[in-house]
Amino acid sequence: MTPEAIALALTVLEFAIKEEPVIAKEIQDLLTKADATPADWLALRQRVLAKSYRDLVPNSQIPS
Amino acid sequence: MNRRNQPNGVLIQMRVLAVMAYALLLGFLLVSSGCHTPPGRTAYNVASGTQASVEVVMAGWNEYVGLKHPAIADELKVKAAYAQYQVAMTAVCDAGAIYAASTVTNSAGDTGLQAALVQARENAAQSLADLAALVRSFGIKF
Repeated sequence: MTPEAIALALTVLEFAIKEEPVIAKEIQDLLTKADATPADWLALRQRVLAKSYRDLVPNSQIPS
Repeated sequence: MNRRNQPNGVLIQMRVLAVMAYALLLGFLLVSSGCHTPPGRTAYNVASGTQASVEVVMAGWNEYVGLKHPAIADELKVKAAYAQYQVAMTAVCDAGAIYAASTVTNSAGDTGLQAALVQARENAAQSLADLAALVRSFGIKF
């Protein structure tokens, strides 16, 4: 990997951490070694169901 | 595309690049530390990363809808694909919770439950791939 590619990767990662807090949280979780608990999975389940299409696509033209 | 819309396009590209960088980091960390990370944690990290990815894909779709105003029928296709992804992902979470509970009494976990978790995860990954392919078919580059 060239120095330019590494620099680009670091820039993108910095952007991810600043602008995408969800991804930043995932990166933090990646560094956690403790095993996932049922509560972790249930929290993820709630996160999956909490965001409807309408929530994620507020520009939607579909009549509600 | 007019000047007013250019920042949105750049933002979509940066988000996509951010997800790609995250995916590369995820792969690197999983490979480099796979044997030291409990399988339940690895599965959770992958599932959590999948959810983060779908949120970015949908953010890109939202930007596209705001700019290009696709047909309602096209939006309904993406909505259905997203609903399919949600069903698959909740199955992953259910399987993960059951597997995690099994590790409380058996640190190695139940192999049958682990296999069910892996299968559910593969299904969710396929649903995400289908959704991403559909969104890409509208010209959004990943």
